Amino acid sequence: MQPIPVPAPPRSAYNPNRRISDLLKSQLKHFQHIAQKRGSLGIEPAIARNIDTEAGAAHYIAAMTRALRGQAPAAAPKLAVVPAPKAVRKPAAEVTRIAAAASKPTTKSSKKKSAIPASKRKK
Amino acid sequence: MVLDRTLPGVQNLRHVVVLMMENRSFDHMLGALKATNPNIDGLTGNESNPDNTGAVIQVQPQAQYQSQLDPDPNHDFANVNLQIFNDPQNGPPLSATMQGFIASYYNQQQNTAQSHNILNYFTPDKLPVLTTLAKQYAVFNRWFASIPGPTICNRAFAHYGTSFGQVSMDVLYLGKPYQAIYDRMLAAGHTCKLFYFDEASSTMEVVNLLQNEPSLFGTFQDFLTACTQNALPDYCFIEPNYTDHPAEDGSGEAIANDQHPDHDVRAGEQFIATVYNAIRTNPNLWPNTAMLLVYDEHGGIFDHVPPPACTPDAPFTAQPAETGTLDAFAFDRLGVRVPAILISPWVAAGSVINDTFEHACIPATVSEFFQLPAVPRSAREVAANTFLGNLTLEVMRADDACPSFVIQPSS
Repeated sequence: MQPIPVPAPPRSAYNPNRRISDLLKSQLKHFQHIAQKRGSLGIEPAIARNIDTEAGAAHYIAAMTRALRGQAPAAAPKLAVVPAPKAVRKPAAEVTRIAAAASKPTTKSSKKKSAIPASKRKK
Repeated sequence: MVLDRTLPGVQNLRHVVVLMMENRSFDHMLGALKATNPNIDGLTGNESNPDNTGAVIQVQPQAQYQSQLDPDPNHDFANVNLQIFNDPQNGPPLSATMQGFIASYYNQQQNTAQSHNILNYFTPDKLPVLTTLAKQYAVFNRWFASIPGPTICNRAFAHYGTSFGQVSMDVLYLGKPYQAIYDRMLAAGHTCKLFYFDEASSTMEVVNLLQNEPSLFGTFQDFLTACTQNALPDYCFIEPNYTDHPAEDGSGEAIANDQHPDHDVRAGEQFIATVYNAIRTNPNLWPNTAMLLVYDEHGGIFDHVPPPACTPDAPFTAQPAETGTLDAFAFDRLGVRVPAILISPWVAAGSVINDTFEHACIPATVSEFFQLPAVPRSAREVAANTFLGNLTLEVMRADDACPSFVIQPSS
């Protein structure tokens, strides 16, 4: 049986500025419930406020998840490692996809990854 | 159905992997397969719904990967009532006509043309991964969401066999009377993990499992590593990436691959293929792993099969204030049908499973296969069918008789 090619979405499909769905609102609500119950968990207020977009929500969720798991940021999934995009929606060669997740190992250590504030990465 | 442990596929089985995607109905994703396999209960092309003008609108093979279902179709309990019974306030004894999908979507924007999109379905060539897996392994004709409602209460059934009386997204299981399947596995000395995509996507089991039992969790990278290192837990539950966000290592973009509208469906296809490939390409895993690919609920998108009645989830009842309808709900009927596929080299190509399943079948199956000690379980889980008896082949399929996928990079 011949291998079946699986096309990737176009780069324009990626939109971290998309408004969050009801599902994500509920996920956030659950995290906020925990934060209220346990205290701030050390989350920066600016991160907790900036949750209207998918990327903003993801930033807060990452901080909360790490806090709950009580550990340094774990290794990210092995996406193809390329320079961070300069503009969020700009088509560029550095777009990464889960497409390469299983085939291309990352070379960066998780410590190094965690040293880069996400707010700086995004630009 | 009691599991036949003499089946070679069951005797070889060591791992069960469940991948739960988001918010697509059976007909939307797999309905077109009826044309090539009449045993699959998909679409004839004549299914229809009335629109707000009274026109009869037929299903169309015009589903797009993205931008067609924006805004996200409503699928709270009352709107699913409208979709199933064509009435937002009343359920049974009204007949489940499946005639209210366009009406429900129309209500969101009062846009007639837009409301027709809810009846669109994909042609198989647009979903090479999902349709190939459905054709090459066992597709479930009757796997329904556990509740005619949204994501989190439905996902709860996959973890606990119940939503503890919730029909909404507010699932705060304080003092829960039933253990999650993971607790039961660990108590019996088995290994198990919930793999979320990354910390930025995290899990939909926030308040409960992540808060109280963070060691249960791993990332998708952990899953891939476990596959490579032959260290896969006995039971794995995988969650997709729920958001478009910068990759956590600052290297680029992590695109949402959950297939939740309005995320691009192709990213989910690649994600499914990545999970499948990780198992399929490891000769130490492939013969002894069964993978269930299933969607949590229909996301407000059309399906033509009326959801059946089921064992009530006693003692739970959701009151009208919670359902948003005039009726209380005793968890005695299922939600809308979703795609579900059982994948294993011990499954015959072209298999179609006609028994009725829902997400409580997942903990029921895991409990049965791993022979977990008897503990209190929900009424729904106790009554649930199990699915590993479908590994019926006497001889495992040859390697070249099973499909493989090549994931293409973005161009």
